[in-house]
Formats: sequence, structure tokens, C-alpha cells
Amino acid sequence: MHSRTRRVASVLIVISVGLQVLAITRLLCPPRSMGALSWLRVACTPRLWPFVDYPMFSDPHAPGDVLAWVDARSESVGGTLEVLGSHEVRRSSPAESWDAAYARQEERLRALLGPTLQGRAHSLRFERRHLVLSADGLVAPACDGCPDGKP
Amino acid sequence: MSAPAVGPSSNRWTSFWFAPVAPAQLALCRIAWSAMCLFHLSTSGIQERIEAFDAAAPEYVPLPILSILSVPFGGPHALSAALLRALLYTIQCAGILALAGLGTRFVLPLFALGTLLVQSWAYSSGVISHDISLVQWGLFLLAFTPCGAAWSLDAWRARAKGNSTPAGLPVSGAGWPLRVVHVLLALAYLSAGMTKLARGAEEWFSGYTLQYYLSFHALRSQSEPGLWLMRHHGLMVAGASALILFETSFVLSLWVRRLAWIWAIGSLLVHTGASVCMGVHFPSFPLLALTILPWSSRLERKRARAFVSPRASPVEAPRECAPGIRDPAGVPVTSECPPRAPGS
Repeated sequence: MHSRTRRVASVLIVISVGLQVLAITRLLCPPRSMGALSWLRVACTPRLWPFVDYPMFSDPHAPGDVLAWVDARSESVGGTLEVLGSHEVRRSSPAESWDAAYARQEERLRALLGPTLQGRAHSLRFERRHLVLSADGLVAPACDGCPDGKP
Repeated sequence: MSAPAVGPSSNRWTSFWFAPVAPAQLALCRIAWSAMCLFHLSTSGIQERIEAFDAAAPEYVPLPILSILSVPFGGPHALSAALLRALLYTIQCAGILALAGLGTRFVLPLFALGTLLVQSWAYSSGVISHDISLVQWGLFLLAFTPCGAAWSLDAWRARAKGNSTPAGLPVSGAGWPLRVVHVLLALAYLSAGMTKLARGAEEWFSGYTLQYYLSFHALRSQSEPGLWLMRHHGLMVAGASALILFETSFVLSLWVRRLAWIWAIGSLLVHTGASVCMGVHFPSFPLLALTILPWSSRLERKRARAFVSPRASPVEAPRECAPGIRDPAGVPVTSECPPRAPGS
């Protein structure tokens, strides 16, 4: 291998490993809460693509956690239902009630899906659903109307 | 002028990154990675995205790499649906040629840079995914090596002309792209493992975090094995611990090269499990982990062992031999040593 080729290879090695380290450590993407370091926020994901971090499946969960979603359907005048997908519902903070979180998601879906139904005699229908995490996995809650699993 | 001194750190750098590697090993990576990139290009819905592309849309924020790669076309905002369509077609043709190894030195860089361009364009409109990025970058690095010197139409044509390099003979220093991919893969797994520990180690080791995600995806994909597994909390606890152990220890495979196959099999098991039980398909990591294993040197060692007589001494004294036949690059092709006399 020629020394010039080796030098080019060395540069590519340093770039590849350096950018990957920056991507996974987020050194150039401190949290917004650290206002004094906001000038450092120059390379947040995905600015460094193809070098990215891998935080998948890392948000922690404990027994009693709720998986909530809304099934959206459009109903024609004749009563025929068309499935428009399931949409996950997340609370903006632990203090937010599930009712408020459902309402927020339904409002968003009305804005998103409503225009696609204009001109057709259809109405949007939402069905609120949820499961609770237990030692048996995500299961139906013990009672109706208790989305946090606690009656 | 005297030559610059080569210190121990330079030697360590060279021995870590620039290992010799057989062209057959590089060719294996060329074929597997090109095939995966081609498959991804034709199944990830890029064609449909191109048809719906609007360069003036507010969500179109070009990634830095797209700004660099699109310079020859006038920059990322000069890309049009017609140009992207032509690019995609050209890239796919280059990919097929790279896979077959025809004009590899020209078509492989074209294919690698083209896939990076098209993929970075697709990710410049919002949602990004990390499903194929390492393979595409690895393919770009591979374009700097003689990966078309074996298992290719180029090699077949060279053999027909009588000036080929044997596929099994290591090429000095050519292993660096495989080493880089190995390091990037180890950093990716380390990132995944450390993030889980940093965000909620207790919940992870209790098995509930894994149980939540497995249940969610099993219910969504209606996977029978997943639906069975989600009801067994003990298996979730064991699986969560095994997964963290695998992700955080993968980096050891960089130094314990002889046992790298253990982590490669681990990668295959983890991602096959996620695919079967959760419907989450992520084939690029096991493919990378399996292809960077030193397959060709293993095969060479096996072949060499098959030719060693059981009575032969394990260490043979060096002999003075004729130089043998060398290829145009000066790499020995054959040795003209006469066979050893019995008992010598």
C-alpha cells in the first residue's frame, strides 16, 4: 500500500471514528436545558448522518405504565367504517391527565385527517384504547376508565 | 534527507488499522454490502418519495453530507424529481455492476457515493432512520481497496489475460475499511447499551422495559412467538441482561479477534429475535458483523492444514528457494521450493 494511499486512509479513519464518537456522545449537542452551552449545539442528530446515535428501546418502563392510542375511523352516511390507523397517545408530562392527552391527540388527528375527507359524506370517529404493563406484558386494564391501571 | 522516524505509536496505529487482508475477503464485503444497498434502494419507497418531491417544501432541510455530495449538480436545492430519478437509475445500474465486479474501480465509488447522496436526500425531509447508514459508509470506504480483484468479472477477465492476483493472498494494509466498520459497529452497539443503562438501568434489568417494547411490537405485528414471549417475565429479565451484556461487550471483539465470531453470532441472534418476535427488521448489523469476520484467512488455514502431513513438524526451518512466479504488482503467486525430502 502506497504511503499516500495510507495517508488518505488515515484521514478517512479519523473522520469516520471522530464523527461517530461525536454522534453517540452528543458532545456537539448539549441539552437545551443547558442554556450556557447553546453555542455548542451545532451537530445534533441527524446533522452528522450517516453517523448517528442508537437510543432505540431505551426509554424506561415500569409495571403500571400505560400504552394508550386512538383508533381513527371514518364513517360514511350508510354506516360503513373505514379504518384510518392507530395513533399513539403520549402525555406531555406525568401531571397531564389521560383525558387531556387523548383530547389533544384527537384534535391533532382532526386537523390531519379532516382535509382528506372533505367533499365526501364521511365523519371521523375515534375510539380511545389502552393497555397496562404487567408481568404478563401489556394487558387490558382491570377496569374501564382506569388508564393508569389503578381502579 | 533522512526518513522520518517511525515510533511505537505509529507502529500501533499501523498494526491496528492496516492489517493485510485477502482480496476474497474484500470481495465478500463488496458483494454482500452492494446487494444490501441495492435491495434497500428498491424497497424503501425512495421512488415514491422522488415522485412527490418538492424542493421548496419547508420540511426539506438538506443534511450537510447532501450539501457536499450535490455540489456537482448545483447544490441540494437544484435537485429536481427528474434529476433524482435519473440518478437513482444510474446508481442502480452501477450497483448491479459493482455486485458483479465489472469495472469495479469506477462503478463502486459511483454506487457508494450515489447511494449516500440519494439516502441523505431522502432523510433531508424529516424522519431519518439508521437502518442502512453503516453499510453505505462501509461501501464507500471499500471503494478504496482492491475489492474487485476476486470473485468478480474483472478478476475473471484478468485471469483470462494471465495477469491475475490470487484471491487468497493477503494484500498489505488493505484491511482498514473492515476495521473501521468493525469500530463503528462496536460504537453503535456501545451507544445502544449505554443509553439503556443511562436512562433507566433499574427498569431495564427488571425486564419491564424490554417487556413493554416487545409487547408493543408483538401486538402490532401479531407475532405468535412475540405474543408467547411477552407473557413470560422471567425470560424478559434474562433477555434484558443478555442484551446489555452483548451490546456493551461487542467492543471487546476488536481486540479478541479470534472470538469475534461469538459476537457475530450474537448479533445474528439478537436481530433475528427482534425480527421474529417484534416484526422489527434490522438486517444490516448482523450482515456487517458476519462479513467482517476473517473468513478468507480461516478458509486458507483450513486448506493449508489439509495439505500438511500428520508426521510433519509444526515449525519448519526457512529454506532458500527460487523466487517463484510473481504477478505484475510483485506479489508472489507460486514458490518454486522443491518438495522437502522425507525426514529432512
